[in-house]
Amino acid sequence: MTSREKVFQAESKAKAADLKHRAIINRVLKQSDDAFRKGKEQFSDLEKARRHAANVKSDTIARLDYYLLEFESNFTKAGGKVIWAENAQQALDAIGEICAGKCASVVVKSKSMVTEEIHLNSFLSERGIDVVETDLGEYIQQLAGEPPYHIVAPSMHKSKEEVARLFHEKLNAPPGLTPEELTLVAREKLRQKFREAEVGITGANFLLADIGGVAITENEGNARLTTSFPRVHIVVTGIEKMLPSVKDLGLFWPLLATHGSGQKIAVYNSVFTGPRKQGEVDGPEEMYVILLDNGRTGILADPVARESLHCIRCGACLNVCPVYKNIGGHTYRATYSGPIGSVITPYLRGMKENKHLSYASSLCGACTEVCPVGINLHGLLLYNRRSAISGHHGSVFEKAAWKGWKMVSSDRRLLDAVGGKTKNFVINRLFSAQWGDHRKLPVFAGKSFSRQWKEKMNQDNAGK
Amino acid sequence: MDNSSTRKNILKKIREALTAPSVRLLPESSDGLFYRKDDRSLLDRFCTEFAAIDGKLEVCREKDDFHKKLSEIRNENGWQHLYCSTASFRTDFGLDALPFTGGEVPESASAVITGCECLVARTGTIVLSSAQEYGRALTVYTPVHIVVASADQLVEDIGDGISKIVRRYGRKLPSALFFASGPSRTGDIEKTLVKGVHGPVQVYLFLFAANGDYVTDQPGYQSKIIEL
Repeated sequence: MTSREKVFQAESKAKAADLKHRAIINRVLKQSDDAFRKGKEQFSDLEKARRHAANVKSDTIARLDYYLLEFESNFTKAGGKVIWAENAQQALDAIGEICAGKCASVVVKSKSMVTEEIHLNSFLSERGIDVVETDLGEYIQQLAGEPPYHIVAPSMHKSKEEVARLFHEKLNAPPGLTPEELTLVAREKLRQKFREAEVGITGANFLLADIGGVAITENEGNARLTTSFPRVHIVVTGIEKMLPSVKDLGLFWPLLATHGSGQKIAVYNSVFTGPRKQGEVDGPEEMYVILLDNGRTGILADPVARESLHCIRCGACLNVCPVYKNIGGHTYRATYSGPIGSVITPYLRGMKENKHLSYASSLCGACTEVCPVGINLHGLLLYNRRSAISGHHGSVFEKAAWKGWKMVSSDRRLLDAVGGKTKNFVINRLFSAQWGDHRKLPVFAGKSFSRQWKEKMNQDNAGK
Repeated sequence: MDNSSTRKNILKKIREALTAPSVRLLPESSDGLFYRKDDRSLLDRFCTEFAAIDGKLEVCREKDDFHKKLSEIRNENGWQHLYCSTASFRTDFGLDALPFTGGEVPESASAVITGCECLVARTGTIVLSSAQEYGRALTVYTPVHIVVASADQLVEDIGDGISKIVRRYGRKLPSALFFASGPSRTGDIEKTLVKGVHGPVQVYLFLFAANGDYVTDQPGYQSKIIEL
């Protein structure tokens, strides 16, 4: 067992028994579920919509090089600049260089999981830059010094009392504020930052090849402010966020809203095609799009796992996952948690160190059923288990155990060589630890079914 | 910074990866009809949807209605200063005649008055663009956004709104397009809905509709028509 796996096991065990955590998560996810049920009523045939979306993504990913070049060409024509980054360091260096060139002391950010993936905040902070998260949930997490708990609802695990305490301690806000008052405090604090910042950094929900556009979805308006006031707008995005056309948004925006937050459509869906144009009254003078690989071409190279690149990061698979509900978002210790995180993290951060995430699933298939772009999530978790073993990442003990199991279970004589007592003793010694204290191991009968059947037939025959 | 070798490497990796064909190709084409049908008029549907996302709608028939209603709402809310950057608007709607509007520093404005590119009936969405005189920041930074539009700006769905913009601007798209659906909101603290987190707390729409445009059997909206 790797050290990461040991930590995962221990933290999962503790979290699953944390009743306060469970109460909050259950309440919040119940609300998500209710909203989702209502949101999906807008579709006449949700399955058809999902199939279409999956087709669009699968066709796009199959011609990714073509669309990336088309995007680059169109975005460049409109005055933007594309920067390619093979890994996190290259992306960080590029952002560092742009910020240094503008002598940036304040950087505002809107919500972006890719910037979490490359650990942008610590990189900029180390360079003396005041980097401020402006999405309310991310702002709360930043104040608390925690990574996001959920890819769409970063502070979902915090009670309103906890947030009030945090604002009191960190921002000198009066104690015991309500969610409305807390929101107002954040609004006022962050308005100053939007005006001060030299650089605004956002992620991208979609890249649009045909117009060289970047689509950003949000409810709060912080991404719009991040892209209005600062002189420079930097977009950091994975290469897989591509859609062929701006016209695809007519389906992808509602799909994202319904699966992400149960809305028909999010409050602000924006498309950016470059820096401020001649004749426009405001907007950044420069716009950059950083196209990040960071392991994604590795996923692409696997024809089966490839479909995980369809993901639009709606978070629906987290919301329905029984494992996520029990262990929570932080226990995964990965940027992307829940089923989709368990699928892609081994590719992004190493199969050997992260293969245990493939087992963080009951294989119930709820994730696959809810996915708006048809990713066979639980199938891929199973596939990753197989890949890990065939890639010789399994332990020697595990390999020996399966070999022994195979030998015994495929040979009737061996299987009947010992009685139930011995079998129970062996199985108990081998598996009781993993099986846990909360459920009973199956018990072998004294004699195997095969032997009992034979004896019964013999008796019957004898009786005739 | 020279980025050409990185670019080459990534494209090479993608092309090599794609030599292995995808395993699971989903067949079939689609007619592109995904949403529940609604036979009501565009205007009726817009009214319902806009109200559902907490937008405030006033249907007007004439300029005087608009002035009267705007003054009332201003008094009710105690707004000091309303800002309108669109010169043609100020002339067309006679806004300069109203004592409380003007082109002063938007920083102090309680509310901003703008037009829009179009309105989307299915989702109650107001489509804005940076090519217009209000630009990017004004409509999201000011606490209240007041939109003035006419019923002929209504389109069916998001896709139609996009097509309309693409037809209007061609290859010279504005640097930013905003599909804004109601006031800014968040649910980040225990999923409690709070309006006006970064963007406007209230969004008003004064919609000019000709007589006969406004056919509805929903009693709730009838009262909002401004009496002539």
